Amino acid sequence: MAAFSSFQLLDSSVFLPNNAFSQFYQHETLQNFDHSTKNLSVTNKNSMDSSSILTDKFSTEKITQRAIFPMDKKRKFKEGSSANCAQSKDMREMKGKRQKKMKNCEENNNNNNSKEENKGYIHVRARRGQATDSHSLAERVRRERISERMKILQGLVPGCDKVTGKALMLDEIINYVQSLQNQVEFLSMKLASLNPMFYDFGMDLEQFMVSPHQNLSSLASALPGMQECSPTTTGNTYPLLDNNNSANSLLLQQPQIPNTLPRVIDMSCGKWMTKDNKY
Amino acid sequence: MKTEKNLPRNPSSIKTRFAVKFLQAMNKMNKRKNPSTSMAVKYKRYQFIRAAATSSMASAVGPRRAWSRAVLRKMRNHTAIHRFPMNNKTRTTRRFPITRRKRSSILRGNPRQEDDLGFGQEDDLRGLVPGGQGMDFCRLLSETAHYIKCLKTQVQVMTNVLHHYST
Repeated sequence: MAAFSSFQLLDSSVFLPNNAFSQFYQHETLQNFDHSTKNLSVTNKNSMDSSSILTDKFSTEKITQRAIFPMDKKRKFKEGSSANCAQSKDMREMKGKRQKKMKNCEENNNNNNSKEENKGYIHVRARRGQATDSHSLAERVRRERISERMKILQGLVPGCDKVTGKALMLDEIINYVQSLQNQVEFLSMKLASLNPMFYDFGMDLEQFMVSPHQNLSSLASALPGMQECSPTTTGNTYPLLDNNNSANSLLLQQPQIPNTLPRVIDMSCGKWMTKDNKY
Repeated sequence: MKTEKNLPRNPSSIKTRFAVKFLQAMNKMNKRKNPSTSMAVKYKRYQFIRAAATSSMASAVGPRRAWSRAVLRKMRNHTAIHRFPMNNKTRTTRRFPITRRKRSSILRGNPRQEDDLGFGQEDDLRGLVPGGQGMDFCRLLSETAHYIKCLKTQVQVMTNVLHHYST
């Protein structure tokens, strides 16, 4: 019933002069429309045919409008779900009438008409393949993001670049994370079993505390490359340390660390990297 | 390799901070614990070292990552429980694993949308990455990438500590 009334309104609006254009299209968008894409393409064709009758000036205008359409994305999203215009027969009539009118009052309504034309084209584009639907667009963006992250992970996880398919890649990633966690556990176990030595090491650190500069200089002589960097590590206070409770619970005296730290990091530069690449 | 060379000159890098914190924690442990070699003590020591490794890694990363935030939260709860055993009740009331998962699944909408990916694998990954329960899949992947990087550095530093003090 609503559709019928709006049809009537449409007809009446067609016979009205220029002002009725905006109304006409409002009704058009409000209508419930359940025609297939075939029908739509037919209407589109018809409109194209009728437009080809028009003067050269107008047709060129249309072409330029068509060129602009793909830029207007927002409108496309809005209009994607809205209903389209009426039956093709009526459509043809209306279009013919409309274009006659357009001929008459081109100068006044150019901008307005271009907007209306925009709407018409975009309906078709959104309808044809459902890929321009906002939901599927978001889905596509999400998929792109996932694949991008998968690529990053592929670079990180060794042996993952040979594998194709996301499921297998996920398998590899899971295995790698598990192996790394197991390695950490194993290492902490080893460190725990290493304790008597560590106790000595603790004693050493006590000694370091007494005369840190001497030991530091000896270490620096052993590692000449580290000479500049060790004072910076001593002077540095780590800003993130203060924020975290658990970090604070682990904290101890600051000046002991730099004695052992450069060595450890240096070793990690040299030794471990080769091992790590081998994995 | 070039980033590795820069590291000692960059005291605020994650590796350096992790090494500092880990050694501090080890030092603390060595001060506190008696040097007996019984199995129970060793096991306690192992647990402490493991906790120290994870928590120092997380605090080196800081609160900008979801996984490190999750670890830090867990550690804080853990230490709070150990310090104040009376708070066991609050712990049980605070942790709602089922409801949290429910809420996260509601927030994520339908969690079973990834038809092209294995769900079991995704859940496995969620279980592996700390704090992975409430993330969507994109977030989970990026967090996993960062977590893998951090685990790598952790393993590096720990092996070097081991090498350094075992020889």
